[in-house]
Amino acid sequence: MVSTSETFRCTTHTPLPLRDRTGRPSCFNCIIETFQVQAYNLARRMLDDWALAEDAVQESLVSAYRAFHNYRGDNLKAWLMRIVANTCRDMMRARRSRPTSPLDPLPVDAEDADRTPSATDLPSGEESPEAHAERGELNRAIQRGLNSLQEEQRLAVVLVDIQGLSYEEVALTMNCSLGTVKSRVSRGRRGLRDFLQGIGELLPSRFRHSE
Amino acid sequence: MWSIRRNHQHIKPETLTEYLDGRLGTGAMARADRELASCEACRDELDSLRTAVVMLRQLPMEAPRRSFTMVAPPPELVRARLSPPMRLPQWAFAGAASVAAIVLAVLVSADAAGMLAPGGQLTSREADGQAMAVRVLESAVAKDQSLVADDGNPILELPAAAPAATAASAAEPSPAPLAMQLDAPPAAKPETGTAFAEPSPAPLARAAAAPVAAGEPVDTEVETELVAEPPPKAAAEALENGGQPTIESSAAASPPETGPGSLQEGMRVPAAGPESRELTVSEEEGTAAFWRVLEGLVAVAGALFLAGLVWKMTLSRRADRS
Repeated sequence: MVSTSETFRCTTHTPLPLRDRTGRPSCFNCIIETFQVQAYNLARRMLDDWALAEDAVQESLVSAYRAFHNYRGDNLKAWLMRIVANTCRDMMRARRSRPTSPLDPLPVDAEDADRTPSATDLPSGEESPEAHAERGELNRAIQRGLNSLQEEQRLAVVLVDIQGLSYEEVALTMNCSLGTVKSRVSRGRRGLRDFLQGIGELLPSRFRHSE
Repeated sequence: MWSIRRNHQHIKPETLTEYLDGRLGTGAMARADRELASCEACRDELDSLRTAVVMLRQLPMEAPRRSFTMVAPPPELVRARLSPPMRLPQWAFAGAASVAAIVLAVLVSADAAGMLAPGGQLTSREADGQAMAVRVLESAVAKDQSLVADDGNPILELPAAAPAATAASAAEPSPAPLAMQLDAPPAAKPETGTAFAEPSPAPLARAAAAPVAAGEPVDTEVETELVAEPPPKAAAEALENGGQPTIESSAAASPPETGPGSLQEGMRVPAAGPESRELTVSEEEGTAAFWRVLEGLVAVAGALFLAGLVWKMTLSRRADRS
């Protein structure tokens, strides 16, 4: 069993040695550091709730750790995203069956106001405050468009167009055929296009022109 | 997939999607380009889709507020602490409870129908009762025929025996008391006559009770012969011993006119019965008790499985909440 930090050369975290089905040793914390941003963004786009997305990622990583001995060593990203997607599905199902209303309801626009701003949230030196606000508005419109899609279409679009996975990886993640992936991506894009065209007047001017 | 013909067909959405992602082969890509150049609708469709894709791709990848790296391996699953029976899936409990319920239902209904009693293993209670009634009637007729020859007045005896037979089949659920009932009518006959008629009830009771007590599946005809045989003998015996048939028949029709001799006989009849009766009663009680105990056990098992199912569901709900 490989368990020393020297073997993994981990400097930023505690080594968490594991072996997959083929017996190859891995440090699970290294895997987490590699894929946690992708996993978090997938959960965030699927659930549209950053706190719930963090819970989903945490839960998915614990599940992945426990199931790592079943991992066959083929495509780690697809394997992990599949676990995250399944956790998100469960959470959405639970949310549908037990809808909750916040004690202090906040408008959708203010949802992100109380979270710690990340580097991507801050306006860059080249971006004016108006452009930054415009971009935020557009992002929220796109998220609403994603929310309007069917669950599987949303997942396919997020994986292909936001996460940048190949169709083959998406087929592995969603456990379906390549043809199904094409169909879901196509329908998802058209659904999003229709949604955005429906709210075209509300979109920033530069995006209205392009449509 | 798609084609450029006079009957124009727009490019399929899936093909446009692949075109946007650069997944088409060179030949397919060239065909798509030609089609797009000639069809404005296809071009518009592609442009609108491209805009949607561009908008999606410009979405920023947001960094989580914290790192998800673990300080220590996550704890073992809570499920591992469940006791071995509780690790069985819920359907196992539900299935076992259902099977127990079905078995219990079958046992109880069979018991209620009298099929679990020692004499009723092959026939139902009603059929058994009817067979008994037929037997009693036939024995009565056989007796009467012997009597008819002597006194030529059979009408008195037949109605008297028939109610006794129906009462016997209706009032007593189990075969053994029927056996006791069987020997009652012949007992009533000599009891008013003379004290010498004593031998007749005992062989009759034994002959009638023997097949029933043994629980053997005897055909009605055979048993009828068995039952039918003794009475003529008894009657003939009674005649030889000086009994008077006419008095017998009238006395059977009116039991209140019994004398002290008949009282004595009335005391003796039950005394002669117990030999055969004890056996049948104890056997029957044993078998019935066995079935009752079995029913109780099945009921308890069903209740346990049901309780296990409820407990299992409670546990899983708690796990869901946590």
